[in-house]
Amino acid sequence: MRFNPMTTRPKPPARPRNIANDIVDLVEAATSNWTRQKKSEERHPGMVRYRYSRMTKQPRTTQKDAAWQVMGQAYMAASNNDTLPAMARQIFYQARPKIMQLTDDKELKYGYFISGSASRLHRRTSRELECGL
Amino acid sequence: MEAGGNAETFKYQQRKGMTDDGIPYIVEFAFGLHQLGLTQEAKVARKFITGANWSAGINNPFRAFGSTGEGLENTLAKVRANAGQPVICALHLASAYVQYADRGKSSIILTNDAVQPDDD
Repeated sequence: MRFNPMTTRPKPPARPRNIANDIVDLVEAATSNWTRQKKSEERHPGMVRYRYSRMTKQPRTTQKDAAWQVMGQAYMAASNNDTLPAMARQIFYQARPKIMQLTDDKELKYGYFISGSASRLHRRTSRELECGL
Repeated sequence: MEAGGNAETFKYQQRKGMTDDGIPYIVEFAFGLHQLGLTQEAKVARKFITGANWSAGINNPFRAFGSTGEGLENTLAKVRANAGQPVICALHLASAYVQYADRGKSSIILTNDAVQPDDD
């Protein structure tokens, strides 16, 4: 099948398993970041200045991950241990400092909190509390 | 790290399998960047250690894969880890049965062909 440059390149079929192919697979997997970086440097020599940041990128805690951790606690605090109805904004005020603390003080906006994953988390947490989990 | 590698760039991969004859094997590969290679365009040569069954080879024993004749050097060149790059890598093969091409155990016979990475 002809490769269409407007679409993504089709994934090559997996190599058959044997020692030689396993060695090639391992080398490819372990050097993937380096290979990507070097190829970008070949295309644009100025990309060498991003080498350090790209090669040493540390996995960070996302706001979504942090929200998963603190949402139950925030809901309980906002609802006075599930005795009162809790509004999304009340939960937001409880959760925001904790989420920001976990995400290197990255600002958490109410719009993102209410529209995105956080509202789903809130719904799930409420459901879990209703079920007595 | 003793060789000057950067710990944050270190990567380890391992693959376990069985040969067609039912002999188990483990292949391990470790890769990292030299500290100087991260901070500047320094001329640091590649450090490359290979071995089989817990014994380091004097030369690269993975010189040829199967009938294609292309070996590990070719693979490393395709992933931009050739001799001039500031990288440190180590490859280890552990298997109950390793066939050598010579009495000095300087070259391992790998009968299977390998599909090399794309060049682009």
